[in-house]
Amino acid sequence: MAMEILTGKNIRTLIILSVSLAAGFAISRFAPEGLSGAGRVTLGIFTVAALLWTLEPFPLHVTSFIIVALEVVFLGRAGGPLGFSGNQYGIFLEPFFNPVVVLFLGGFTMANAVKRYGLDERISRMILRRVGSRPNTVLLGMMATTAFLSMWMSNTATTALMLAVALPLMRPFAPGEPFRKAIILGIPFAANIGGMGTPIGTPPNAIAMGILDSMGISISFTGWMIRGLPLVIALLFVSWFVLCRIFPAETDSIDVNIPDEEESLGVKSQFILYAFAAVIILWLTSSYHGIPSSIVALLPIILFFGLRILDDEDFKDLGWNILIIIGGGMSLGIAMKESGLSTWIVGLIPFEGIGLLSVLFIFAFSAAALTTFISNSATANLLIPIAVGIGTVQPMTSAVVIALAASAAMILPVSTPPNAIAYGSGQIDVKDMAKSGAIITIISIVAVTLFIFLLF
Amino acid sequence: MTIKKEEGRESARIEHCPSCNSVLTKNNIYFCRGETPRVYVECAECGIFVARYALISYTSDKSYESLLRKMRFTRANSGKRTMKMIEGFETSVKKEFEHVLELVKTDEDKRHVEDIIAEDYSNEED
Repeated sequence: MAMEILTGKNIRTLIILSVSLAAGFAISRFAPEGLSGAGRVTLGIFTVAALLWTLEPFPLHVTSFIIVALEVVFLGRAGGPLGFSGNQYGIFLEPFFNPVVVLFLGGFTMANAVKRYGLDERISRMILRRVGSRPNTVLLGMMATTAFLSMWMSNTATTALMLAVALPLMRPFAPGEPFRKAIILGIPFAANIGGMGTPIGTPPNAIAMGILDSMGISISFTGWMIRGLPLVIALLFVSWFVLCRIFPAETDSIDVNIPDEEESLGVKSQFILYAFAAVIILWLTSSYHGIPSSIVALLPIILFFGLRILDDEDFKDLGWNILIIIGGGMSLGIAMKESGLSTWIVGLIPFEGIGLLSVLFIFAFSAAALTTFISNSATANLLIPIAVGIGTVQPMTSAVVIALAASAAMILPVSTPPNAIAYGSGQIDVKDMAKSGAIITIISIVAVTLFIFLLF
Repeated sequence: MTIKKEEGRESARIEHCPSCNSVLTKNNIYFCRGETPRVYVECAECGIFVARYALISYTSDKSYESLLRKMRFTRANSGKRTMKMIEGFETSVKKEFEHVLELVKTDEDKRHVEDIIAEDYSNEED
């Protein structure tokens, strides 16, 4: 039995875990003066989280559970450094089912229903039928469809769907046709960008909202879209333009060849679309009717599972791992705030001498740089709790800038799952992605920072 | 990449017709939106019903395209893990196919398929 568990892979996992815990312990013991006991412990936990989320010895959600366990044992236990008693340690567990997590759960349910009944494919076909046959407009249509779907569905699922649609279109291309690369790259880039558009588009958005929520600052569904959607549209056009310039089409037309005839929509599919529309309307109008977005998100869960449109298997597939990662990040944020660690870290950086815009650029650049190598959720989990503590910048501004910049991960295949999927097609190499992705990432950092700084 | 499994943990079996014992079968796949697809296996010799499988995962000879289909239902969060999964997928499917053919040739499990499932998997169902 021991041999079954102590495989080479697991031994490596245990070594990384041990080294991370030892590093966390050492940091907490030898932290510089001026940090409280609770702050030192939290710095140690933050170090463990940063190492585990970066090195990924196991799935990212496992790290979230480790964070909570460390927080409760070393910080929140009765008589611990935070001075908690009874079950006050519950503040570290609450983020796992807070309003933002419920909002995401509702989003996941809607996305599962749409996928289960093939409505996503139908939507993609509906849009692609209208893009004509000019290569550049086909690419724009592909990217716009991808971005639209990824605002509501996972970026990974959207990329997988759209690449499956795109691959047959490219079969008639000559082997060296550069435009092939434009299509393969345009899809993951559009998925990454589309995720910025709604609170449920990608986990960093939820992490930002959740951390702000824990500080008593709420941002509505519409409020997020007002910030995210213009950026999605602008960055989509920029990415399209960059790809068309770097990988110009050598053919005059592409045969999109999508049959005009569709089977008529079944009753359940129609019901899903009506429910989807109703939920989005309720999300966008929550300031009028007063029902919080997270409670609106319960509607698809109750309707789809209650009326057996989705079943237990779909419930198991609801992306619980993502919710746990989001919860772990927020829980870490709470520990950093309660222990005074975020204030202490911010105090170390001389932000007073730097202008507000420069501070935001530093955050956006740090988020984009970090997310190139580690997951965008981990990036948001590590940076947002620090950034929101800076007195000179509105917490909402810094959190939103970091969350949006964390989606600007276009440079390497390992930067995001959509990039990895596109790279896995074998149609592009790392150089192709790095060349176009670096330009788009830099433009994204500038656009996100300036847009949020100037308009909000 | 070689396939190494603990001895006694794996076995393979060719489906036989319960009536004529033929190993020639036809897979009739039934799809109904909202339900798990099901494979109805028909004896290619005598045409009788052999077995029914529920299909939870499908990989064709174009494994990248099959992987894309699979990934439509996943919510990955790590680019590194996704890369590893994609890199390993194609090779592992082909290697396992060869391994199963070898296993069937050299050490076919003689039990009925339902017995193998009942005896070897019943504890893992819970």
